[in-house]
Amino acid sequence: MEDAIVKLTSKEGETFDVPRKVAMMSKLVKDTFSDDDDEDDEEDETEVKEVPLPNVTAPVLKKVIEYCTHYQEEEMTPIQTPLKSGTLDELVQAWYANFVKVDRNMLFDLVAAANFMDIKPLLDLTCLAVSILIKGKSAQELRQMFNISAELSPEEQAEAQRENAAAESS
Amino acid sequence: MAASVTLSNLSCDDNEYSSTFTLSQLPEELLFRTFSFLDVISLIDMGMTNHYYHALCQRNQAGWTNLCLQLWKTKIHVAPAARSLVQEHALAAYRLACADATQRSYVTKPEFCYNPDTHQGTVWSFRFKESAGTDWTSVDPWYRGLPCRQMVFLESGKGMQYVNDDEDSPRLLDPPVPIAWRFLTRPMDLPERPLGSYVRFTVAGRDVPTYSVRRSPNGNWGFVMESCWGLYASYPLPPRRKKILRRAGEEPTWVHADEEDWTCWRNKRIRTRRHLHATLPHDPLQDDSQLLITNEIQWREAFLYNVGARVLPEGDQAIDEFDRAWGGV
Repeated sequence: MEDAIVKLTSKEGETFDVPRKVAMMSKLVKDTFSDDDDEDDEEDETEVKEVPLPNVTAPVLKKVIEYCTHYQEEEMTPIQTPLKSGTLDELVQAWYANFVKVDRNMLFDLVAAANFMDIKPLLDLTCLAVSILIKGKSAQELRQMFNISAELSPEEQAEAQRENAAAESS
Repeated sequence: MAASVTLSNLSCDDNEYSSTFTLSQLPEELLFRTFSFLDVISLIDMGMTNHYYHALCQRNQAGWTNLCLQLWKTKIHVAPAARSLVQEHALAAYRLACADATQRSYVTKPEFCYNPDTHQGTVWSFRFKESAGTDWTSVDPWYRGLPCRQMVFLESGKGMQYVNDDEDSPRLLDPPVPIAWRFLTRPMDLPERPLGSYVRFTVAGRDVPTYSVRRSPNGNWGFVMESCWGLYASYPLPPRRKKILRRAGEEPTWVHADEEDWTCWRNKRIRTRRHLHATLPHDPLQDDSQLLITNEIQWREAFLYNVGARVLPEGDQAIDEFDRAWGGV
């Protein structure tokens, strides 16, 4: 069973052969197998399972598989709040810190894929990476970075600035 | 049929990649998870970007509950109303707690008192100031580098010594002389303030100069109360920092030993162990010159105590009555 292969199929129909152990990091995949375990059929043990992932594009799925594969060799340090540091390199191992040094668009898709495939450590890592993009930036910088249109009224902005001042004094 | 891709040729060219999602298209649950890693300032700034994020960043799920709990576990007194509110509206609780800590400088009775039945309440640390004189400082353990005496004040108006040599069962003892306490609002030498701003102690049947309450200058949301002769804190006061004579330079000067160690280490001249009980650099409660209530401020009460008065006058007329009785002092 250790050598069993799972075929993960991306949104575009591209198929990736992945060792079962690696694929089972996804609770979605794991639950798919659990549903099939009810049948006690010897032929199923050799059958290659195929799991369609219509929400995950091929480039993203490649990255997810890369993560899950590496995880088998080096388990990621669990990310716990409160964070002990503001930099990724001090929170997780170097490989994982480098893994999420991708462009913003890929990062968002990794967040969505980790959520869809229910891979908790990957979800924690990618959400943390997005939060680090947000940290320390002013509202204006965030609007520019994420292409957000400003809609707060002057009163709402003033209220938020007061909260900012109160929070800083605490 | 699409070609299979095996593990051997995994690659991802980000330059060609176009996203399925943007930040705003991520489901709320994922935005909340992301925001839960943010500090307070970053969360507020995110909420200032537009209406949508403003609404999201106000909700408990954005991380405010944890932010409240993280902040409060470092603080001595947190407004009970804030603690009650945190489950329902954590951001409001955060605001309330911070506003209370920065705006209220008087102590409430529940914050001041100790319940001997439940062992809940405040244990106050006490030390004399040098201005009390060597008769008092020589018997004060703090001046020997030992932990401060600790006192508790019961709702009945009685003061008791708190002894915690066995952490499982602290003991309350009658002090060597009876101590009674009460709040007042207008001591002789100080301006009128809300109830809980001043404490009058009566020691062995004699009023002692009023203790003025304020928030601790250490930023820990605790309270300190001081008179011209004594200082209480609503949290353990660190033992007195040792001082040594620094002989470097033209004039020898007294410096705190742990600061000297740190300076030398930083200059890589001498590496020494930091003093075991080192406090924050420039802890104002270590240095009487940094405290606020002096003999000059509280001179009338100090005078009356020294001439043997049993009761110290209070109220708006107290100064006039003093001047009539002691005019020319």
